[in-house]
This record gives sequence, structure tokens and C-alpha cells, in this order.
Amino acid sequence: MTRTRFYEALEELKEKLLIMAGYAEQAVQRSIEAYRLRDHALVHFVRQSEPQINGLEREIDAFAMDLLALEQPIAVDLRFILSVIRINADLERVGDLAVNIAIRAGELNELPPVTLPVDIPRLGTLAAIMVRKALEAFIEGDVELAESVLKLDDEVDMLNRSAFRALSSLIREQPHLTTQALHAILIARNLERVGDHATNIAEDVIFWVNGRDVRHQETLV
Amino acid sequence: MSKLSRAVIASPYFLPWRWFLPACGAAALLCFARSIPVRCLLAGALLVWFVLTRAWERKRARAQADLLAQYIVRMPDLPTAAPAVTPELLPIVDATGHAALSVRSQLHLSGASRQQLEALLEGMQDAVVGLDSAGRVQWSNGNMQRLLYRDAAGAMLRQGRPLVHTFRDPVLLSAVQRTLEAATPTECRSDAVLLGRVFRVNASPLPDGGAVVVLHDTTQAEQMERSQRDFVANVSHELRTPLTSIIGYVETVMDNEALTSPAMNFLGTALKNASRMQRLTEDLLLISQTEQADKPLLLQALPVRTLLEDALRTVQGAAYAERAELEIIQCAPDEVMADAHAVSQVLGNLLENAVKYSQQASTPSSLKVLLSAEVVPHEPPYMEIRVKDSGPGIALEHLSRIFDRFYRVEKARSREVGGTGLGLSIARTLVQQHGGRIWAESALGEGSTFCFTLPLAN
Repeated sequence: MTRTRFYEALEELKEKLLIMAGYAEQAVQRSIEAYRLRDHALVHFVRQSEPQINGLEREIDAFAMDLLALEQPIAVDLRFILSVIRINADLERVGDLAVNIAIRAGELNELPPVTLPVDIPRLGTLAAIMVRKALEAFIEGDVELAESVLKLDDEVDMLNRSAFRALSSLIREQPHLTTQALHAILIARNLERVGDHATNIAEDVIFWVNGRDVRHQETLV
Repeated sequence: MSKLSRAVIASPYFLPWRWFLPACGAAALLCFARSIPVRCLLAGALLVWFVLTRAWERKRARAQADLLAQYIVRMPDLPTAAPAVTPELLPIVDATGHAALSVRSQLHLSGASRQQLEALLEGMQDAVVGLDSAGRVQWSNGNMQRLLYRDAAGAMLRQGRPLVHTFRDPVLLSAVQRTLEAATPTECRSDAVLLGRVFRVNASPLPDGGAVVVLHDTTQAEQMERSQRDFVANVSHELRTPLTSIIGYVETVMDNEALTSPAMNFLGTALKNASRMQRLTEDLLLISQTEQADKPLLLQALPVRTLLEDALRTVQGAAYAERAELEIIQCAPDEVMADAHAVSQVLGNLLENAVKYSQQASTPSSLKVLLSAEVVPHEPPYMEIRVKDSGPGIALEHLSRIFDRFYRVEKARSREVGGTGLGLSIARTLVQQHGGRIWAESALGEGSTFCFTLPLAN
């Protein structure tokens, strides 16, 4: 493979990853809407998207492995392919978490509607923005944008902790709402995990562009 | 023209060929003339003739050059300095000048139409983006830029790069891909282009193999539609509870044998109207559920015979009460791709109507409702299901409106048989969700046939 063909293959790899990212993002957004609107149809859509995401994960992994094995890239090209492999795994997990959220939302729909002391849509929107920003940073190789995603993670963690506290109090005070509160706790926890995966994507972008490994460095920002 | 000819023409010493013979004649006379004065006279005459002719040629060339310069001055993009023109080039200069004028007017026209198109694109409420045949973004209108600017995640339009670098919504991407590959317009609903926004996307092919993608924001319209649907559903739900209570109590009171006949009549009227209101609320609830655009059908391959037999069993009780006879006269062995619950609802509504209205037939012996299902060998083939009753028939003027909500052919008679005016509307919505169509064939006094189609499973 000539160098031109190799760079074309890298572009193709990037495009495939973005297509998969589209499925994962759509699943997250629809799962939040399924909770907000109590819409069973959206739950169904999200569950249907999982096999598609899994198939794309395998396809992208195989493509990236081929490039590694046949081209033996170095420096920035090697870092790019390694980042794509990691981001691929993160996006697949985001898709799984979206399915978990949708299932919980579907189960909540079966129960009588109650007002819970937690702002799940806000938490969900924040997590979705993190994923989108991380992907925008990946498209442009923008380290500054990637670092802004790391800052957002703190806010999502804080919202998740406050949701946990509020829902624990609700269970103590109104035990008959335990089921609904538990579902909401799990949805908040899953959204927080979506934010964590967005953070991982942003860290991979920084690794790709600068060669710096910023994982597990709490004092970075 | 050869290289030599070009070199000769370009030379400042070039003389036109028509001067060659006079020059040769003059040279011969010079050679043969004996006396010096004659030679001087001839040489002088030749010199004067040469100078005058040369001056005349220069004047003519300058005039042509001025003409060309006028053409060129009107063309701002071309160099303004006019080249030296020789007489041989004059026709070419003339033709070039005319061609330049023609090109200039065409450029002017295309520039004007381009400005009009740009103004049109900028004035559009929708966001528009143009792609080349490889699916790369080529141009967009201002609304598209503004739309992306509002995105909290900092999305931007990336010109010259694949569309997936700007929009990652799989629904939108697959619609655009279909348009690029098949050169046919596509339409879809996209809910993942921007957070919390819903778009109606239209992709149309371009003659050069590219595509134009138009995004129309339908977020507010969908929210309003959802609010309206929720309102209907809530009202129906809230009405159902007290109605059930009213009907239960009225029935209990009517069980009391000590009631006088007028009181029993009053209670009977109350019960009849309450029951009708209950049916109405249930139908409203059902229609608000079926009209949810994003509510998917659970499509699966189902034998059409099973669907017909299930529907017959459901309506058998009502048919027995009305002394109507239900019969499947023809049924294809094929399977249809359908949602069992939805088809059961459609068939139930059609059969209930058929039983109700067959009751009004002139002879009791003709109370028959006939069902049939057959494959229509169309491309692609589909299943056509027909429900034929022996009722009074429907006049032609009503046939096109009977599927509208609350439309009744005869209001009084409809109320008498307990209709709400929503059953056929629900049936039409459900059939259309399957990609089929529904219609009625009827004539007064000859009964009616309600037909609908469903896609085959294979």
C-alpha cells in the first residue's frame, strides 16, 4: 500500500468511527427522550440500535488491526490508530449504557408517573454534550476542546452524587416509591458513566495529537 | 500556419505579399534605366509610394486596434493594452471582439441568476447544504451556519469534507447516501442532528451527481402535536373513570324491581347515553395512541387466515346478538407482514360496522358478512382483504369522506346503532402505518365492501 493509499485508509477509518459515533449519540439522546416523554416507542428504537453498534465495533477493530499489521505505522499515525481502537470500545460501551437507560425508562413507564427530586434530562443533556464535544475534538484534533470535556466531567459527577442523595432520602421518606427511585438512581449512574466514556474519548484525542497520556491525572485541569 | 509564417508575420520588417510584385517591378526598372536622373526619379517615386502605402496600412491597423481596445475595455478581467494588429489578423480581431461581447453578456446573465439564487438560499427559513458526488460538503446557506452555531457542543460545517464530519445522525446519512447512489429524492425525520431538535430532512439529487440536503426544523410543530395528543389522551382517560362509575350505579339501580316504569325508562336513557359516551372516550383514547407518529408497529410474518379467524371470533358475540352470519369465503395461504394487534383492531372495526349495518337490510335472511383475502399479483404483490356486508349501502357522495373523523352518513341512524364516527378513521391510520391503503366500494341498496391492503411477508 502506498503512503497515499495508507492516508486514505486512515480517513476511511475515521469516517467509519464517526458513523458508529452517530449511532451511539442517537441512542443516548433517544434514551433520554424516552425517559422524559415516557415514550415506549423510543425505548424500542434504542434497543434495536444495539446490534448495529456492536457490528460496527467489530468492523472498525478489524480494519484498525489490518492497518497496524500491514502498514506498521509510527508516531502520529500509530497514535491515531491506537486512539481509534480505544474510542471504538468507548463508543460501544456508550451504546450499551444507552440501552440500559432505555430499559430503565421503559420500566418506569410501566409504573404510575411520579415527580422525582432529580433532573435526569439535565444530567442526560450534559452527558450528551460531553460526547458531542469529545467527537468534535476528535474530528478536528482539537486539544483545547478535548480538555474542556474533562472539565465538564466534574459537573456530571456532582449532579450524579446529588441525584443519589436526593433519591436515597426519597426512599427513606416514601418507601412506596422505592422502585421508581431505584430506576432513577440507575439511570443517573448510567449517564455518569456515559460522561466518563466521553472523558476517555477526549483523553484519547489528547494522546493522539500531543502524545501525552493524561489518564488518571486529577490535577490536569 | 507554420512556424516560419508566424515568424515572418511577427517580424517588424514584414511586408504584405501584395507589395511583392510592385516592388519587383520597381527594382527591375531601376536596374534597366540608363540615365541617373531617371533612376533617381523612379527610386524617389518608389520611396514615396512605399511610405504612403505603409502610412495608410498603419492608420487602418490603428483603427482596428482601437476597435478591439473598445471591446477589451468593456471586459474588466482582460488586459487593457491592445496588441499591434496586422491586416491579416483583422478578421480574427473582429470575430474575437464579437465573441468577447457575447461571452460578456452571458457572464452577466449567469452572474445575475447566481445572485438571485444566492438571495433565495439566504432568504430560506430552512438550512440547506450542497454535496458533490462523493458526498463532500460544497456549499451551504447562512441559516445552516447559524443553526450549527447555536449548538452547545460547538458543531460546525466542514466544507470540502465528508458530510459525516458535520452530521453524524445515521438516519440522515443513510437518506443522503440513498439519494447519491440512486439519484432519487429521499425524505426522513432526524432527531440526532442537534441536541433536542427534530428536523424533517429532504435530500434531492443534482444533475452532476451531487445532492442538496434541506433541513426543516419541526421541533415546535412536533411539540404542539404531542401536547394536543396528550390532551386528548388525558381528557379521555379522566372521563372514563367517572363514566364507569355512572354506568355501574345506573345498572345497579335498574336491577331494583320496585322501580316504576317511567323511572326505568329514564334510567335506560341515562345508561344508553353513558355507554355511548364511554365508547366515544375509548375511541378517542385509541385514536390518540394510533396517531403517534413515532410509535412503531411490531411487524411480524403472520398467516392471513389466522388473522381473519381471530377477528371473526372476536366479533362472533355481537354477530350472534344481531343474528348476522359471518363467513370466510376465500383465503390465500400466504403470510402478511403486520402487527397482529393493529390488524385485529382494523378487522374488528370493519366487522362491527358490517354487523351493525347488515341489521338494517330489508330481509333477515340476507344478514351475511363475507370475508375474503387474496394476493394481488401487482409489483410488488400484496394481500387484499375484503369485508362485504349486506347493509343499505353508501351513496357515492359519502364514500370519499367516511374515513374522516366523526363523519357519519346519517347521524341519527349512526347514533341508533351506537357508532362514534371514529372506527373507520382508526382503521385508516393503522392500515396506512403498515404501508397499505383502505377504501370502500358501495352503491345504495347493494351493500358495501370495505377493502384494505397489507404487504406480503416475503
